[in-house]
Amino acid sequence: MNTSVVRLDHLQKSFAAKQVLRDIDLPIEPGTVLGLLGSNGSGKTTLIKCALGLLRPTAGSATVFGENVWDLSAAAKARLGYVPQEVTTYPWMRVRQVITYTAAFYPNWKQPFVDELCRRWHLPLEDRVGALSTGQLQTVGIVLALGHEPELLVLDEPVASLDPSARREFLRTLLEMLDGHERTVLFSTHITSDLERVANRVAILGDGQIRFHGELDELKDRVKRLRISSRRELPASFAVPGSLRCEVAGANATVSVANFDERLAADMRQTWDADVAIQDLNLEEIFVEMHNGRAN
Amino acid sequence: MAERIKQVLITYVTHRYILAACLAGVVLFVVPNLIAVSRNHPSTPTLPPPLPPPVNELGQPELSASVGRPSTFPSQQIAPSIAPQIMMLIGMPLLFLASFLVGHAKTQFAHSRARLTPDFIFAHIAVLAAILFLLLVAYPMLIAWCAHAESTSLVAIALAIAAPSIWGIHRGRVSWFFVSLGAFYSLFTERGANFWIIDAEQNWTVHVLIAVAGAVLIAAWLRRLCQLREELDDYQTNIQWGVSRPGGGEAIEQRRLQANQARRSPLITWISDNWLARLPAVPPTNRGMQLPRLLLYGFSPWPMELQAIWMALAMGAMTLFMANFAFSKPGSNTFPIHMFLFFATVMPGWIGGLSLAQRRPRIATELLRPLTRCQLMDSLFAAAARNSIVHWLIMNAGLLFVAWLVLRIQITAGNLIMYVLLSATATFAAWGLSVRTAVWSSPFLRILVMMIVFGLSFGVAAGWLAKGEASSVSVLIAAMALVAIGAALVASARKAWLNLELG
Repeated sequence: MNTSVVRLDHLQKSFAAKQVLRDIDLPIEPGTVLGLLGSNGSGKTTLIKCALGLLRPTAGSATVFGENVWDLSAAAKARLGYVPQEVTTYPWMRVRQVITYTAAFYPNWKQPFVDELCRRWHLPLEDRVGALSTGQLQTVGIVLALGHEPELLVLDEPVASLDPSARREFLRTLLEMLDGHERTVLFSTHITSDLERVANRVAILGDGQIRFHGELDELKDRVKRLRISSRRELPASFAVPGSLRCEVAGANATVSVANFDERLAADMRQTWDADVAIQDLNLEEIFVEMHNGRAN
Repeated sequence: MAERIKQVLITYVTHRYILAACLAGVVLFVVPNLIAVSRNHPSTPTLPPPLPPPVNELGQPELSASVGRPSTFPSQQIAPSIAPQIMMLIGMPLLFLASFLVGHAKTQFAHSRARLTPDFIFAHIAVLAAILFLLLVAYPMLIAWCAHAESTSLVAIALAIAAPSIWGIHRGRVSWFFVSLGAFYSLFTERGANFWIIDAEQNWTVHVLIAVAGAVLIAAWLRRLCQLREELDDYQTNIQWGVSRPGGGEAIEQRRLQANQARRSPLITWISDNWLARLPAVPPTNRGMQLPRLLLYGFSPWPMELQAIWMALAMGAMTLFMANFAFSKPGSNTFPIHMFLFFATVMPGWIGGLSLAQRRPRIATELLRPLTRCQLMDSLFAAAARNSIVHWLIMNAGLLFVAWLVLRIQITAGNLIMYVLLSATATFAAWGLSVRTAVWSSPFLRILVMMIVFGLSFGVAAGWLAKGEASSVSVLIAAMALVAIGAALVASARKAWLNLELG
C-alpha cells in the first residue's frame, strides 16, 4: 500500500529536446522534512512542479496523498501548501485583501494564526501587494501557504529573498508548526544551514537525477574528507577508488570520498605508510564536494 | 560602434510577430493605399476654367490682379475625400507602432544595463531616433509626394498624432491619447481636412509650429529615456504588447505597474477598495455558483460594469462625433454606428479570453487551492463569461441609446430582434475564439489572429447584409452556425486549458 505523502516513480520531464529530469524515484513519508539540494539548473523547481501537478511528467508518475497529482482532488489540495520561488498574486489588492481573498477558498482557514504571522513579520496590511519589496512579497506568499496549516508543505527556495531576521522567524515558525504534528515538508533551498536545522532527510539532485536520498546523518557519515600525510612522496597518479576529489601535493593528499568506510582509511595507512585524518563535513561542504566532484 | 548599432537594430526585428504584422501592414495596407491616393490625384489636373482677368473701367485687363495670383496651388488639386485616406495611411500605423516603440524603448532604457553598459545610450538612442525620423518625417513625405499634398502639413499631422501618444504610453496616461485621437479624427471632418490638406499652404506657418512642437516633444522623450533613473515614477517597463512572457525583473515591474494603476487617483482607489470590501461577504466556499463570484475579484481591480460603462461612453462619444462632424452626408452616417456595432459585438467576446490570459501566471497558484482542475477552469470560464455578458449588455444598451434616441435611426422590432440574435451569437463565437487563443503565450499572436478573424468575419457579414434585406430564415441559420462555431471553440478551449501546463 502506498503510504508516502509524495511519491515520484520513474519520473521524467523534458522540455522539447531538453531532458530536465531523468528517472526520478523519490518517496516522501509522513512526518519527513526533506531538504532538496541541487545546483542551479539541476531541475529542483521542475521536480517540485511535477510533484504538484503544475507540470505534466513526460514519463513516470507522481502522486500526492495517494492521488495522481494532475487530477488532485479538492480534499487533497486542502491539505497542502506551496510557496513558489516567485510569488504571483494580485498586485492591485492590499495585503489584507489578498489574505481575505485566499481565506475564502479554505474552509479550515486559521485567521488568528495568520494574524499572528502578519504581526511577527511586520507585514504592511494596507499596502498594495504590487508595491511590496521582493522579500515582503515572499513573506506574503509564506503566510498564504501556511494559513490553513497544511499537512504537506512544499517550499521552493522560500527564504532566498528574506533578510536574516525574517529567515530566522520563518524557520522558527516552521519548527513550531512541526513540533508535535506529523507534517511533511519538501524544502528546496541553497541555504544548507537552514536545512541542517530543520531537515531530517535530504535529496541531492544533479543532472536531473537523484544523486543521494537518505537521512541527513547518513549522508554525513558517508561523505568524509581524508587528509593523508605519507612518509614518502605520493605519485602524481595517486587516486582513491570512488573519490569525489583528490588533491596531491608532495607527500600530502586531500581526498573526499562519497562512501566512507573505516576499512578504506586503514587500507590507505597501510598502503602508503601514512597518517590518515578523517574530517567530518557540514552539509554545505558535502554539497560542494559532490558538485565539484561531478564537475571534475 | 557600427557593430553595436547593428546589435540594437536586431532587437527590433527579433519580435517576429510584430515584424510579420508590420510587413503584412505594408503589403496589404500601406502600398495599396499609397497607389490609391496617387491615382486619386489626376495626372493632368482639371482645374476650373480660369476666371477672366479683372478689367478696369476702360475694359483693359488689370495688371495688378494677375501678377500676385499663383498659376496653380498643388493642394487645391486634392479632393476633400482623399483626406480620410491620408489620415488612415498616417494615423493607423503611428497609433499601432507608437505603443510597440515605447514598450520596446522602455525595456531597453528602464533597466540598470542602460546606465552601466558603455555606449549603451548612444547606440540605442541613435537607432530609435533614426526609426522615428523614418516614421514621422520620411514616411509622411513619401505620402505627400504620392498624393501631391503639402509635405509640411503631413509631417505636422504625423507628429501631432505620434508625440502625445508616445508620451501617453510612456507615462501611462490616457489623457495624452485624446490629443492624438483629436488630431487623428480631425481629418475626418471637413474643417479638419481643409486645415490640414486642402488649405495647407495658407496654414503653412501653423503646420510648421505644430511640427516643431511635436519634434520638441519627441526630443524631450528621447532625453527622458536617456535620463531614466530608478527613483523616477516612469521607470517602469510597459509590457502591454507582452511580446515575450515577462519573467524576473519584468514581472516585478509589471506588478508595480498594476499596483500603481489601482492607486492612480483617489476616485480609482475608492472604487477599487469599495469593490474589494465586498470580499468578506463571500462565504468560504469551493463549489457552486459562489466560486465564479469569488474568482471575479481576481480578474481586475474594479468590476467589469465600470470598464464596460467607460468603453460604452468612449464609443458613444466617438460615434456621435463621427456622425455629426465627419464627411458623411445626412442619411449616410452608417459608418460610425457600424463601428460601434462592431465593437459592441467583438469587445465583450474578446474580453473573456483577455482576462484569462492576463490571469494565467496566477492560475498556477490558484490551481493548488482546494478545487479540482475542472472546478477551477469551469468556474474561471463562468466568471469570464459573466463579465462578457455584462460587457455585451452595457455596450449594446449604449449602442441602442445612441442609435435610437440621439441619432434617431429608425429601428423596427424585427431588425432589433435580428440584431440581438446575430450580435449575441457572434459575441459567443468571438468569446470562444478568444478563450481558445488565450492559451497561447504570445499576446501579440492572439491579437493578430483575433483581428484577422474578426476583420474577415465582419467583411463577410457586411457584404451579406448589404446585398439586401436578410431573411429571418437566413439570419436564424447564421445565428445557429455562430452558436455551433462558438460551442466547438469553447469545448476546444476547455480541453486546452485543462491540459495546459501552468507551472
